[in-house]
Amino acid sequence: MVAASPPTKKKAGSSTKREKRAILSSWAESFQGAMRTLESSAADSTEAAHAGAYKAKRELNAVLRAARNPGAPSHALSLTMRGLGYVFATTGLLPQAEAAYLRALTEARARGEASEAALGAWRDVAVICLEQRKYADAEAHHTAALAALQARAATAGSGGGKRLRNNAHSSEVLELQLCLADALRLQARLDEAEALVQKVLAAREGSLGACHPETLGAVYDLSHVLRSKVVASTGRREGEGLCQVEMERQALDSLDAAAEATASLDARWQGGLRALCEGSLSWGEQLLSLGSTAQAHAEHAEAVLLLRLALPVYEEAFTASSIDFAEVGRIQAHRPASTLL
Amino acid sequence: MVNSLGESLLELGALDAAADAFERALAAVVAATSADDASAASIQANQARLFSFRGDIEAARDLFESCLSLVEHKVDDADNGGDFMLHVIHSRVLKLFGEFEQAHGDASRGAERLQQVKRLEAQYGFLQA
Repeated sequence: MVAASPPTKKKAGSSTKREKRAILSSWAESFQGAMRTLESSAADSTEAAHAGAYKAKRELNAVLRAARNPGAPSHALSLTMRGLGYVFATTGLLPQAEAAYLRALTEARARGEASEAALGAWRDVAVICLEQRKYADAEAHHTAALAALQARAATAGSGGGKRLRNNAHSSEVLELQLCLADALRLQARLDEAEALVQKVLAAREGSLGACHPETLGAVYDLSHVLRSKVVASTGRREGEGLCQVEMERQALDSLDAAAEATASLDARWQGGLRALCEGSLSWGEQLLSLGSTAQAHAEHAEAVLLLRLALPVYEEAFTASSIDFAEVGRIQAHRPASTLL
Repeated sequence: MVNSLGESLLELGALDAAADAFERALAAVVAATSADDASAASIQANQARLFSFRGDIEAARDLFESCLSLVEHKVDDADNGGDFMLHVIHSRVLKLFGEFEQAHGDASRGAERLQQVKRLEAQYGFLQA
C-alpha cells in the first residue's frame, strides 16, 4: 500500500523513470487515501469522525515512510506532516498538532520561504497556537507569514508582474491581516487590532463592495473589537470588592453598553449575513459557531451577545423543549482554518 | 445552547441571568429526554458551580456529588464504555467538581479528578474548553 519496495542491488539514483513514477504515485496514492479516510468520516457522527481520524493517522504514519523516498515530490514530507497535524488537531491533541505543523513549516521553508506549502504551514501553526491560547506565538507566526507573502508580491512586482503586485492587497493578505488582528485582540491590544481591521475593511469595501460576504465579515470583526474595548473599559475588575447585586448590574450594564456602541455596525453585518444565509437555521448556526469560538477564547461578553441572538432562532426551529435548544457540545473545534482537504 | 449562554453569563458575574439560563436548559432536557439523562448532569454541574459562586458551598458539593454519581452510572451501564459525548460530559463534570474541591479545601481530591479529566481527554481525543 505504501511504497513500492526500493529496487535492490542498485546504486542510489539509478532507478528508471518508470520506477520513479511508481514511487511517486505510491506516495501520492497513499496520502490521498488517508485524506479520503478523513473526508469520508468527517460528515459522520463525532464518534465515527474520531475513529476515521485515528485510521487516517495510522495511514499517514505509513505515508511518512514514503515521503523521503526518491521520486516523492519535494513537498511530500511537509504535506504529510501537515496532514498529521490536522489529524492531531481534530482529535484534541493540540501540542502534538503544533509539533507536527512546526516540522511541516521547517520542511516547507527549506524549499521556499514564501512557497504555498510554507504559507499554509505558517497559517496552520498560527491557528493551533491560537487554539491553545498562545496568542503571542500566533501573532508571531501570522506576522512572519504576512512578511513572506508581501516579500513575494514585492519581488514579483519589481519584475513587472502587475497581477502578482496586486497580491499585496489580495484576499490572502487581507485574510491574514484579520487573523493577526484576532491575535492582537486576544492579547488586549485593542487599538492595534482596530487599526488593522479598519484597514482590511476599507480595502474590501473598495475591491469587493459593501455587501460582499468577506466585507461583512470584516464589519463583524470591527464590531467585535469595538465591543471588546467597551467591555474592557466598563467590565468587572478583580478586587473591586463589589457585592453580588452590584456585580450583576455591572456585568449586564457592560453588555448593554457594548451592544449600544456597535449598534450600527451590528445592524450592517447581521442584516447582510442573514440575507446571505439560506433559511433562519443556517443563520442561527453561523451565530452559534461565532459564539462558541468566542467562548472557547474566554470572550464571554461576545459569546453572550452571539448566543442571545442565536437562541430565538433555535427556539423557533426546535422549540424550547429540545436538546438542541438546551445544549451544545463543549468540545473545542480544532479544525484549522487552513486545511489540506 | 442556553446552557452555554448560562456558562458565559456565570463567567461575567451575571449570576441571576445565568441561573435563569440553566433552569431553562434543564427544563428542556427533562422535557426532551428525562431527569436522569447525562445532559441533565452537565447542566446541574453548572448549577453547582453557581451555588459555589453564591457562597452556598454545601449545596454546591451535594449537587456536584449527585450529578457525578448520575453520569458515572451512565458510563458504567453503557455498552462498550458508552458513546463519545457521554465521556465529554463525564469529563466536564469531573473538571468542574475538581476545580471546586481545589478551591474549597480538598486540593488532593480535586487534583485526582483533574488527572482523571486528562486521562479521559487523552483516551477519547477531545479537549474541554
